[in-house]
Amino acid sequence: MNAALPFSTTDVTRTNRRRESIVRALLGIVTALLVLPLLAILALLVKHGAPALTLDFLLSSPAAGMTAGGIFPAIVGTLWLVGVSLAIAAPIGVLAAIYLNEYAGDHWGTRIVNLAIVNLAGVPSIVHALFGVGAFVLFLHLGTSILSASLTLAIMTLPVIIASTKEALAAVPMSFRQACWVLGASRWQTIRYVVLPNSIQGILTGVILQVSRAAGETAPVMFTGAAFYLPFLPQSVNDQCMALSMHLFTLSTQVPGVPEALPYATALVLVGLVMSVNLTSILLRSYLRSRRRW
Amino acid sequence: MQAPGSETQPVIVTRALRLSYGPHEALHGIDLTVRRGLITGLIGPSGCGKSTLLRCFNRINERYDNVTTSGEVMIHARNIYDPDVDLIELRKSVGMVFQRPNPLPISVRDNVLYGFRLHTASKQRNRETEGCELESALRAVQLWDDLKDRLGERATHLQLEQQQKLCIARLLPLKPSVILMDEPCSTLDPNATEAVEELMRTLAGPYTIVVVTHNMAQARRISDECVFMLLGEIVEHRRTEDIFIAPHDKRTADYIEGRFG
Ligand SMILES: Nc1ncnc2c1ncn2[C@@H]1O[C@H](COP(=O)(O)OP(=O)(O)OP(=O)(O)O)[C@@H](O)[C@H]1O
Ligand SMILES: [Mg+2]
Repeated sequence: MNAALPFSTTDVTRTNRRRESIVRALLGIVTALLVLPLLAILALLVKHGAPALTLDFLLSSPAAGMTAGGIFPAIVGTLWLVGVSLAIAAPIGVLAAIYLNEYAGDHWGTRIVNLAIVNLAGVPSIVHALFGVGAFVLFLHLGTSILSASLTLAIMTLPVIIASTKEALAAVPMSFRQACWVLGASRWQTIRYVVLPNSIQGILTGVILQVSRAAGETAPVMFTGAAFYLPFLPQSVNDQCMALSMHLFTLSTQVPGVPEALPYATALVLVGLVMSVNLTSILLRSYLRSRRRW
Repeated sequence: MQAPGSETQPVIVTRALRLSYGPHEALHGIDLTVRRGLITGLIGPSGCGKSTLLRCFNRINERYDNVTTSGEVMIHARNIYDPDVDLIELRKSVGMVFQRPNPLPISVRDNVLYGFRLHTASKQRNRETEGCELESALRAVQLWDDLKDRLGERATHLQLEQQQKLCIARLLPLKPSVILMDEPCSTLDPNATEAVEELMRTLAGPYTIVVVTHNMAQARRISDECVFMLLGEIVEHRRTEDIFIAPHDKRTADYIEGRFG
C-alpha cells in the first residue's frame, strides 16, 4: 500500500465508491422498470383494439345486443359526468382551499377539517358509490341520474382538489403577502391581486388531473347514474347516461359473444382520453411556468 | 437608560410593551420614544428582538400565529393596540421595508401604484392622478430618471438596489408618516448600500424612520439616535454620537466594540 502520496485512494473510499455505484444502479433500474407496465398495457390495447377503432366506432351506438356498433353514447355520457362533477367540485374545492390556506388559522377546528380531507381522499371508490346511492339517489330523491353520479364523483375528487389547491396557494412566496400587508391590503385584496394570479397554474393542473380520475372511475357511477345501455343521448342532468368505464366493464364481463376487439378498442379510447387530459395539464403547466413572474 | 434631549416631538412612544410568541416572551417591557423626523437605529445581537419590536409598530406581528402583546404603543398619541384602531389605516400611515426587496411580480408602474389603487376609490383615479403619484414617488426615491422609460418592465427584473428603492417608493403614495426598515441594505452590495443610505437621509425629516441594522458602521453613518437592545430589553438609547463615543452601559460598549454578538 502506498501511504506516502497525498490524495491517493484508500481501501475505505474504494469500498464506499463501490457501494455508491451499486445503489445508484439499483435505484436507476427500479425507476426504469416503472415505465414497463405502461408500455405493456398500451401495446396490448393497441394490438387488440386498433382494428376495431374506426370513425364509425366512435360515432355510432352499440348494436346487436352490444356485440357490434360503437361507443358514441358512452363517450358523450363520460363527458357529461366529468363536466358536471367538475362544475361542482372545482369551485367548492378551490374556495375551501382558499379559506383553509388564507383565512383559517392553525387551531383544532381546522386540524379536524384537514384530517377529514385527508381521510376522505383515502376512502375507496366503492364506498363513495354506496354513499352516493344512499345520499343522492335515495335520500335526496335525485334518482339514478347524471346529477347523482356527478355529485358522487365530486365528493370523491373534492379532497384531492382541495389538497392540490392548498399546495399551490402555499407555494406563493411569503414575501409577496408581506408586501401586501404593509400596504394595508385586506386579505381578499391580497388573494385577488397577488395570491391567485401567482398560483393559478398550480390550481388548474390539480383540477385537470382530477378530470382524468373522474373519467376512469366505474364504481361511483355504476349505481348512481350510468346505465348498461341507452338507445338515446341524455338531455339533462336528470337523465341517466352511458359511461366509457361502465361500458368497458359491461362488454368485458356482462355480455356473451362480444368480439374481442370491442372492449380493447373501448379501453384504448378511455386510456387515450385520460392520457390526453394529463398531457394537456402538463403542457398547460409548462406554458404557465414559462410565463411565471418570479 | 436615559432618553436623549427632546428637541423634537415624539411620534412613537411605547410603554411596558411585552410580546410573546406562544409561551416564549421575546420583548420584556419596552419603553421607547421615537422622535419625529429622525432616523432611529435599532442595534443589537441576533435574536434580541429588533425585528419583533419593529413589527409591533405596524402590528404585522399579528399575522403570525400565537402572538400576544401587552402594553401600549402610542403613535401620534393614539394607542395602536386599541380595539377600534383600523389596521388598514395604521398600515397606510406606518410603512415597512424588508430585508430582501420584495417587489410584486408586476410592472414597475403597477408596483408603485399598487397601494394607491387599493385605497383610492376608482372615481378619484385616472391617468393623470396616477401619473402624478407615480412620478412623485419615483422622484422621491431617485429612480425616476433611471426608470421613466421602463415603467412597463417587470419589477422583479430590476437590480436589487432599484428593487429596494421601489419598495420604498410604493409606500409614498399612501402618505405615511413613519417608515420602518428591517435591515434594508443587508442584501445589497456596498455601492447600492451607499445609495439607499443616501436616500434614507433625504427621506428623514418629512418621514420618521426606524431602521434595524446589524452593521455598526451603518448605524453610525445614518442614524440620529441609536437604541441598543439585548435579550428583549432596551439597554441604552441616546444620540448616535454619544452612544458610539461614550456608551454608558458596559454591555453597549462591549457590543459596539465587537466583543460579542
Ligand atoms: N414568528 C416567530 N415565531 C416564534 N418566535 C419568533 C418569531 N419571530 C421571532 N421569534 C423569536 O423572538 C426572538 C426575537 O427575534 P427577532 O427576529 O425579533 O430578533 P432580531 O433581533 O430581529 O434578530 P436578527 O438580528 O437575527 O434579525 C428570537 O428568540 C426569535 O427566535
Ligand atoms: Mg431581524
